[in-house]
Amino acid sequence: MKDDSIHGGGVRSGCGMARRTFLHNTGMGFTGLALQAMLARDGVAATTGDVGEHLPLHSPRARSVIWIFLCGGVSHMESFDPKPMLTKYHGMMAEETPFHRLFDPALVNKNLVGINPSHGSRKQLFGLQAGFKKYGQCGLEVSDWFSHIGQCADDLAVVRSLWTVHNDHGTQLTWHTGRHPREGAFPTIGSWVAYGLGTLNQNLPEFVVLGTPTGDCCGGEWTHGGGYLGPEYAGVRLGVEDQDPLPYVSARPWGVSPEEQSAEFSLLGRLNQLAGIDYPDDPQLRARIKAYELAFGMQMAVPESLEFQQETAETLNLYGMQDKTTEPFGRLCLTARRLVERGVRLVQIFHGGGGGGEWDAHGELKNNHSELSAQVDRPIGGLLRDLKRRGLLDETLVVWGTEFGRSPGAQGTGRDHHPNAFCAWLAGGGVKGGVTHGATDELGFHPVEHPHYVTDIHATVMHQLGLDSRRLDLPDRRRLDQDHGEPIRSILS
Amino acid sequence: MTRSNRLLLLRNSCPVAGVSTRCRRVRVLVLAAVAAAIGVACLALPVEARPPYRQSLKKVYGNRLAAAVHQCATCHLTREEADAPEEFDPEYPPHNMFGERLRILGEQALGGGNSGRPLDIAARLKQIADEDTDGDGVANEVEILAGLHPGRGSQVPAGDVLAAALAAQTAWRAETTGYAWEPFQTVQRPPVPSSVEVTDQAWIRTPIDRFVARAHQQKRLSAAPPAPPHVLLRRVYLDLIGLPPTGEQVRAFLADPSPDAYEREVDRLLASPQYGQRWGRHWMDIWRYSDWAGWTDGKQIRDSQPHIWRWRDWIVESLNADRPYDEMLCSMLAADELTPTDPDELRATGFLVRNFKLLSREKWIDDTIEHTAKAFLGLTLNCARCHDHMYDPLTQEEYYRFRAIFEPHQVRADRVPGEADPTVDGIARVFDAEPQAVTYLYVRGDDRHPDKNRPQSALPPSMLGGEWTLKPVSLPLNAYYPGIQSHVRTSLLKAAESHVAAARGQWEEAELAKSKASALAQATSATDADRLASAKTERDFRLAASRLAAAEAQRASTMARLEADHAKYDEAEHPQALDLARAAVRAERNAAVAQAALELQIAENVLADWQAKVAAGDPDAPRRIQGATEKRDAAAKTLTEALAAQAKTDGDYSPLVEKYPKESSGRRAALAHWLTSRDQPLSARVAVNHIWNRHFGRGLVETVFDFGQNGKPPSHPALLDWLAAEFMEPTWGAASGPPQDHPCAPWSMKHIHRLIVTSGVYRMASQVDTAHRELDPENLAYTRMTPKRMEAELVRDSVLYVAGNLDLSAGGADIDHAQGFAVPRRSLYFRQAAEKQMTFLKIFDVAAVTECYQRKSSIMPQQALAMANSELTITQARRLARAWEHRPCSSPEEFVAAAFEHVLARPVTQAECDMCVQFLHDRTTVVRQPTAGQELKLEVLELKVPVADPESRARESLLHVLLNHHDFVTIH
Repeated sequence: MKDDSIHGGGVRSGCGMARRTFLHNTGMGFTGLALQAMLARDGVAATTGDVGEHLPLHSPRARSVIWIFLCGGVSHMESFDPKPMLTKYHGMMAEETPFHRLFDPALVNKNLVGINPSHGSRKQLFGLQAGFKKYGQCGLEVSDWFSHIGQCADDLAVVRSLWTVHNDHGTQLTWHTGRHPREGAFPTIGSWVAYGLGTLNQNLPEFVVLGTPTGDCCGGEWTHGGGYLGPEYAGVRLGVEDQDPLPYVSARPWGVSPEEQSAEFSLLGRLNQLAGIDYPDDPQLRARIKAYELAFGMQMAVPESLEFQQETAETLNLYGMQDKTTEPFGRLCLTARRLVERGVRLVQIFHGGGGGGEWDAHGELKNNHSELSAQVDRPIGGLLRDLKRRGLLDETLVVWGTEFGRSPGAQGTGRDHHPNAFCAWLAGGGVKGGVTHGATDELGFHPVEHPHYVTDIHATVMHQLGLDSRRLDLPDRRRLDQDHGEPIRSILS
Repeated sequence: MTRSNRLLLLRNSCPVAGVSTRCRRVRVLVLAAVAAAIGVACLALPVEARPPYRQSLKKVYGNRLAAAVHQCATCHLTREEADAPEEFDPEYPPHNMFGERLRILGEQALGGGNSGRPLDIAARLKQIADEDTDGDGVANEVEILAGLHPGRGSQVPAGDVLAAALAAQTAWRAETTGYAWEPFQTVQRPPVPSSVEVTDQAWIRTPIDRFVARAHQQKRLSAAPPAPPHVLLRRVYLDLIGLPPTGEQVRAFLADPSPDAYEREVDRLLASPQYGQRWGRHWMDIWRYSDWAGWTDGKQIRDSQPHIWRWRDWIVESLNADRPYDEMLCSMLAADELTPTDPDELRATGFLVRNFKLLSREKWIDDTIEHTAKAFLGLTLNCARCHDHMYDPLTQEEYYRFRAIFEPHQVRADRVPGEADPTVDGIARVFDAEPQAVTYLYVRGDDRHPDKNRPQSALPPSMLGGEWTLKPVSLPLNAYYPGIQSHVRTSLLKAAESHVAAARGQWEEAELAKSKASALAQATSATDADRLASAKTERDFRLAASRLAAAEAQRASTMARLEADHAKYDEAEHPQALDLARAAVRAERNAAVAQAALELQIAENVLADWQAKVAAGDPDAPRRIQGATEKRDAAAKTLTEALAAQAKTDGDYSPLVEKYPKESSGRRAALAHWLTSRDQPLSARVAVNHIWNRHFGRGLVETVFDFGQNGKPPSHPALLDWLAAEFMEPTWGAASGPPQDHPCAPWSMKHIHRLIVTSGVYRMASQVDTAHRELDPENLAYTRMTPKRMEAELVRDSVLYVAGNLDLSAGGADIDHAQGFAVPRRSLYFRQAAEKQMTFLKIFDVAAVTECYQRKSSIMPQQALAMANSELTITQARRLARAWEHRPCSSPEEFVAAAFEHVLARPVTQAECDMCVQFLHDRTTVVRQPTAGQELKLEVLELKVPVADPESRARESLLHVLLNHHDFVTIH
């Protein structure tokens, strides 16, 4: 009975509580639920400010995070880290170029653990497959495949010097937990945020997952799990297109009317409270009553947050909702905005999930990346602009990432996995706009300036949320420095 | 990259997944040491130094340890103190007198004496507590408690400081002279406390109670009153069989005046087949049961193996039969060596099969080591993969000696009667594929760097008295060559025959198609298309003919080899053995030729098809021709080779099924016997602790998988030792109960269950007043029962059960986890593997597939949604209500009372009854108003819609509410 904690924290075993206190502490009870339900129906978020036990430890710059993850490995050279030398030496073997030392196996394998030998050592250079333009006042070079994001260049902080520890898609897990895939389940960034901050809205989970997550091969549910923090801190998957966005969110399929259900909840609440009068000190009973109250609220709040009726046509267009290519991902991005608006702490959006990941362009990279970027570019650009004009970008940190980059050398008409270097960007939430941080060598092979392990991104997110990850450590689960990472301070405003 | 690299080395050094918290903490400490070595922190320590030694000081002296003594300089010289400060190497600071004394003690212990078991540092500290190592006239322990260094003659406590230290020592010793907990020493049965003061002597029912009562007495606590009988009954039902009592069972129990009514219930429950299903699931948690996981419908098995459900059935059956725990352990680790010809027992090795990992043999073996040590020994041996264990006296070398036990083993599937293809059905089991396999220590745990100079032999850890003699096991023929088993022969022959029959059917169809098409093509009205189609059927017919020929040749080969096998193995000196063997060789080579001819025909047909498409102008076809031609040529070559082989007469025929090594290393059998010997200190302690944990929600040692220095010390060490001794050498009940009812077999788990659930401790109420709760808020002293939330399986099973819909049949292949609401079997029979778990169960914290020594019991809104809105609870409430429709007409009050009794196994209170009667009344009135759904006339059995009659609908609704009641999912 060690895990009496409930969603959102707040309920801890206490002793010596009088009956009156018990009734008081279980909130308005189900008599109050009707009011709550009405508020939810009217689209008024029940913002109670009942934050978790780990209040921000310093002044936060961001309130929520949108964590976008593209599965399979997006080419860094064909997105935000252009390498014209590749085009110049296209088709030449590494030995014939001035860069052959970059391919030294000792250097390449230095940080890798449990290497899958079928990936790597692509030595024939492969020219850039996309054109590049400069965007914004900062003049950030962005590939033509990401022009909508490029138009937000002055809001982006691009980190070009990331590296990771494994050369296969299991590193999707590493991006979210900071741990080698061999090590299995560990708390993800989302679960740390949920654990650290609790909820802003009692009717919605604090950590929500959208889209098709990473496949079973490569971390599966662990990429949005709670690890040893427990299932209450795992991401809650909402299916934006499903009948039931959340398992068992409605009893209607079984012919139970809302009015009937409300009567049942009301009776249940009163019966449980009767039990509470006999046993005023039972923390499990208190937690259960509260869980039912939350559940009742979620039944309304979850579907409401997924409905777009109140969005204007112009907003829908911004996310590409009118176009069938961009509509699916646009729906996720718009849902993410609605969720952070309603107080969800971290929304994790997957694109191209399942299997190794769709961005895994071993062949035909040009087709693969141009098609996939067409699905996400406009919605992400739209999300950034929409957040900005609503004043939400100041308090919402958007992170764009992938598990690793792609090889400078060709694999037929594509590129292989490349864990040695890749890029990501952050926007909003107190991050400087229009900056690039870190750099790779002329081929994009290795970071040569400010290398960062993936947990430095985690640390940056935690820092902007006002959390000190070291102070969140569980007493018997102390983590390594590398697990915590260091905030990338030079991109913070 | 300096920081990253350094950390990465450490990352490399402990890459084991699911590594316990301990390992991680250790790494942080090592990090601190690294920081120190690069000149950041106080006194420099080399990386190899063992900061946990400092922890040991803390461990022994707890809060009495002053900060001044809790540092490196307690045992090491500083630069200033060193004889030659200019030669002082901060990475290797020499010991001072005290440190040196500790070091020498350790070496002495290693060099013999003390049964060769190294003393841990805490034990060494205790040993020299009264010595005066620095010769300043004050004993080490007094100096430590005074906050002075015991290795520095210059620091001498005096006056008040000395007086305070002596007083502290007296107090400290009074606190610590309780029961000596020595988990690494052989279990000695402690005396049962004879005179304990309790307010109610009747409370004491078993020896367990005396141990608990003594602790109450020492802490001036008192026990809660006994739980009301209906609460106790529901508790023990759910605990032992995982199902609540029915209303009738509650009533019968309450009406039974006999003094042993409860004991008889316990016996009945333990004898119920449902006991094995309930406790089987507990042990499946601890032994990490997992169905296979992988890709594309079993074509790529990544984790565990198909058919491993037979291991689950073996667990359930063994528990129901009360097989001794030691026997079960032996079978799980080494049934293939101990009972190699018993297919039922071979199922037990699923314990090892479960660790199979396609993508990494290293991880596979690591998991095997980690979880064998954790589950059976309560040791975090996995921490010693890269370095000596930081807390327990386990060396890195010992990790690899333990690994050597498992090095030779592999998994395979044996055939079961009636199925020739072991991928379709079979017994998943282990065997030694490489009995001579050698194990090397990996330098820093990195599998890329085996230390080939030091092969490791299979041995258990020396701290547990690790010695044994390895005897290789000669396996009987039918164990290493299952081809001689009669059922295998039968099914192979059957399979060969059914292939022929299938091929003949296809041939007949092809012939018919050919003659029809040919007739069309020869008709005067025939078009080009008809002629092309006819050519195609001609080709298809040739293919079918080849296929039939191949199947017949294969059948002939199977039969010839069967006969040869029969002559070779079944009879001594069979006169025709040689001839039959030669005939088998011929038949096999004929079959190879027929098969090659078939392959060639397939390739030729493919080529011809593409050629026909070229002719038809298919733009894709020309470039396919080349590939198809190459394949055809390769097939032709294979046929030529097969024909050449056919011409030869030498050689031997291949076995009907795979032949495995004739000998097994005997390493796992040695481990099994060692683990279950009376002297082995941990097996029994760990097992009874698991059982206690699953009854009370907390182990006597809370860290059930870590009995080492870094685990939590036991709350009742003497009780745990007594239970362990009682487990191995039962005495209780022999005198009191009739022996035929309570056979006191060694290692009987039912014996331990009976001891626990009939104890006064177990029978206490869970609800106590505030004052009582304040005295023991965490219930560490067992002054009451701690209420538990039902485990996931119990929630689902109980909902189905109270609705009268649970299918109690036992065993069988894993059921699709997506069928959880459609198939009313008990939850343990549904698929449980990575990514294959029932959503409903997951919401209630079902066991993590990778590791579940302790269930979680969270309380979350998702659970409320699952109970309120899922098909399961809604339809089962309706099922129950509709079943009750046939009862004699009852008043609302009677209905409410019956509902509480049936669903919650308790009487309803007046206030509850009033509330519920009012609810029934209100609902009936509301629903009577016309609504859209009311017009429907529905079948009573259509559970997916509510019943039309308003009164009945209100009753369905009330039953649904009761399934959601706190008291339903709670075991009070």
